[in-house]
Amino acid sequence: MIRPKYKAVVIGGSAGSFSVVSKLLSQLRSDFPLPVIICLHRLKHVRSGLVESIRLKSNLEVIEPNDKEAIVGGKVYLAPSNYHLFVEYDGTFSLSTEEPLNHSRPSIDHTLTSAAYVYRNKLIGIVLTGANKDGAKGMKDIADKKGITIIQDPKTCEMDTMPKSVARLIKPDKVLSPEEITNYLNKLAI
Amino acid sequence: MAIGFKISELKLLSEELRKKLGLPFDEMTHSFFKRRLSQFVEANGIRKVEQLLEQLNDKIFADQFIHFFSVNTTELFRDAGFWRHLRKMFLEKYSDRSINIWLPDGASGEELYSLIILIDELKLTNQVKITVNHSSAAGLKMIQSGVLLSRKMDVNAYNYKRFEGIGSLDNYFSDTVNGFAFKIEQYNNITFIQGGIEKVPAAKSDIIIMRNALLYYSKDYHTTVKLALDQSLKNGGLLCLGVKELLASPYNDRFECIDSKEKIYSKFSFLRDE
Repeated sequence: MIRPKYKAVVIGGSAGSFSVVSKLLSQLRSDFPLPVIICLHRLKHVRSGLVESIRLKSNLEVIEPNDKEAIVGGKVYLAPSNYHLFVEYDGTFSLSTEEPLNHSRPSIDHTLTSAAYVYRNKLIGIVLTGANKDGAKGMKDIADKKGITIIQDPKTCEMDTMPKSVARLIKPDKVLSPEEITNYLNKLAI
Repeated sequence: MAIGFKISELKLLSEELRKKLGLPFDEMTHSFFKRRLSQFVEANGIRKVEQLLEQLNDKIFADQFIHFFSVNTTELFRDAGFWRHLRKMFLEKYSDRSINIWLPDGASGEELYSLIILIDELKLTNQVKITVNHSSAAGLKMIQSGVLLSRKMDVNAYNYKRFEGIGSLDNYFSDTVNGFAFKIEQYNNITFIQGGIEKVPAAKSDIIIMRNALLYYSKDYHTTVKLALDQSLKNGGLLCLGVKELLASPYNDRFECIDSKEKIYSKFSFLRDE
């Protein structure tokens, strides 16, 4: 078996990116080898519903991780409502109820930045459609660690503030439509 | 960030801080320790580790430092479903007897105030004794002041509605210059302890509520803390964790999960005291 060049994919988007994420997961190969860590802005008081909806069409198992849960390849992890989600050096998640960042808990920046420090140049960071700048700083941290940075093509976004905020801070490695993002990830699994 | 910390430096510093201040900084998750430390040194204009250690010789500064590592961002009735279930347990199990409740980490005080309101609405205040720990003197003082920021009251009111409280939050708060103050002085059934999990109440507890406080600590430290919680809880007592925290092995043979969504565990009543 060929060892994957990358160790994880981390994806950020606002609530409006649900349909993009859902479609992406429905088209991702069922043998996709990497963990896919997703942080979406979501209603803080609605704890259930989102993961179940995403699970409906996903080819991979979708989980809202508990604190200290081990990160396993081929699984999709969704940041729980009203908690920040961090990646730790020991290959586990940690959660936090610390202050919202960019008015958000979970904050995309927190998840992306922690993943950048752990996976460094073995990380693929993706920012999708979204209405605020959360995620831009995290993508810069991924770029600084020589990971791959991808933004959804603003022309295909319902709200383009989030990917454009990334593009203002760094030059993303790729600017792709949702279909192109899926194709790119699927090629990694071959 | 004012100081660029390497992983090895953080480890050494966390061990040194534990020796100096007593709080288990070296048991904190890496990301949490680094994040809070970075925020603290930046907010205080500290440029070198030596400068931080020097300033920590001042007792008030050291207490502020410890307080900064306490996450004070919860809400009244966070996870309303948990509080509804706890109310149900009170009615079923505790309405006719005296009970002891322990909050090993008082944090911002909002868990305590939520508990007091719950008990008050059930008219059980006279039969409940509550013990609250906080690792810093400043944290305890904050809880005892009852002050909550005005901007938090909207979400608190929303949570209270979801909790299905039978009264009005207004009855429990008075206006202050800084926001609202919980009328904590009206309740004399609370004991405050400065210190962490090692300072256990004199009497064993019927209920321990420690929600989301362990998120910031390593898995190894969880083992230490959960052992202490187990030893401090009466047989048949309730242990309440955060909704994304687990009480797994080796506790499966000592506790039964009675609400897997709200993470309420019941200690088996037939266990032999150790």
